[in-house]
Amino acid sequence: MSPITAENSRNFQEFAPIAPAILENLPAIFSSGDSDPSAFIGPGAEQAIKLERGLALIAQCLGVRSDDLFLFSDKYLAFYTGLLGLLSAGNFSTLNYSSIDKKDLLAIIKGLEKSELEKKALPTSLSGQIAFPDLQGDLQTLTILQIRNGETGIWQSNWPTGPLFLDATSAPPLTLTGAIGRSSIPGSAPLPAGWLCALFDSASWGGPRGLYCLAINQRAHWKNPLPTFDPQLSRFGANYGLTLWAAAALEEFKSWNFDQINSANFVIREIVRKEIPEVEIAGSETFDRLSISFLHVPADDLLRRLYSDGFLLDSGSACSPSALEPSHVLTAMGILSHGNVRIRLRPDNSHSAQDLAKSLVKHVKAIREEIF
Amino acid sequence: MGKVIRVDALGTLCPIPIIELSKTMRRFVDEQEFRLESDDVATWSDLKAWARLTKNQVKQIDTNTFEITRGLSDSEAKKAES
Repeated sequence: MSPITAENSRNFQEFAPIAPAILENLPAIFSSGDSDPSAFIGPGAEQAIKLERGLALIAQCLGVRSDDLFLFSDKYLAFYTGLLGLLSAGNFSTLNYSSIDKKDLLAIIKGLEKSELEKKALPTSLSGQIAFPDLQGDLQTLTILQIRNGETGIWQSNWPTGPLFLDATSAPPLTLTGAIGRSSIPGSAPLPAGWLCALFDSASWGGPRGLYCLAINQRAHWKNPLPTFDPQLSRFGANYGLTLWAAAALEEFKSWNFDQINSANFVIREIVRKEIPEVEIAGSETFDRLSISFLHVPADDLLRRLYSDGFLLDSGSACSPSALEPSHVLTAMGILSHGNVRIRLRPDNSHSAQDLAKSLVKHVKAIREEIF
Repeated sequence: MGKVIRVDALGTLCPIPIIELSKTMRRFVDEQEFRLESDDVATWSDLKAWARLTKNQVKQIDTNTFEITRGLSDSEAKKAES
């Protein structure tokens, strides 16, 4: 039996090897080095033109203006800059957020403890939907809207009104996918009307890790919250290579067969539900992500057994090798957090969705039989 | 009122406390009341999910002590049916 490697494993983890079509473009992108794009002449000036083209493509796909877009290499810093910029310039008295928000955001909100801002944690249902209050006409309340949850793949089906800080870090571009959870029909959807700042993650469309796109709406009252001589964010803070890589990944993402991925998701759900009792599958229409929890099953044991069959998966359980506490998302939703596996579907792995489901069934049944 | 069966899972980690509880309930099929002691951080949230999946009742007594009653209450059973 040949050893399981990154190349031959059926990788259903969050991060997989770079798609071959993207890989082909990388030598050309990186071979010209990394010059200063603010230079007037030379390779830096040439790179600035390519960078602007890449940014324009990214902005178009994200549904924002190119000159509203600023790139960051750190997610926490991007969240901080966007959210604190709105809070320090705007006239907000209340901040609505949810306990399934990203930990970076929750940490930033916790850091606001001494401010006079009223912070309201909105409850989340078992189906992963956040209970947004009706804020028609309320311009004093800023609401954080997580378009889609990264762990479960659940899309918010009801977008709140009023001023919004949009966490779109786990949602592929809406202009390409549509808001899948809202309509079930992939297509093109605009950003919610009230958005003031929106954060995107290039990894959500298969681009590099460590490239975050912060869009600041022209009509937003926003002030750079970081200590700086220049109140404006730099357009050239972006890493040239990563930005063009992200743009190449967007072109590749456009070729994804969404029906194939939705179908793979459905197949896994159906087989698992039919064959295994006492199981919880988060949400219903979750596109390329699945979060499944099996009662009485230690996740680390299950991950190891799946790996022996060639399947690489992640887990949101405290009993997984990388975590000592259960997933805050599953806990907030009230879903079983032990025995959890997370599955990421892609065009190059969806053909083995049935095999994965069968392997899950086999190992969950075996583990339970050994325990009882 | 019958006796309360104690399940000591102190010092064990997720999902052992829930597994030990289920094993004990399968062993003492005629008993209705159980008391789980567990200091794992995931216990209470998982216990609530476990109760929903297995149709039992749970109550947190203090940080590390949980009361379990076999089966659903009449009102919960009606709710589950509807």
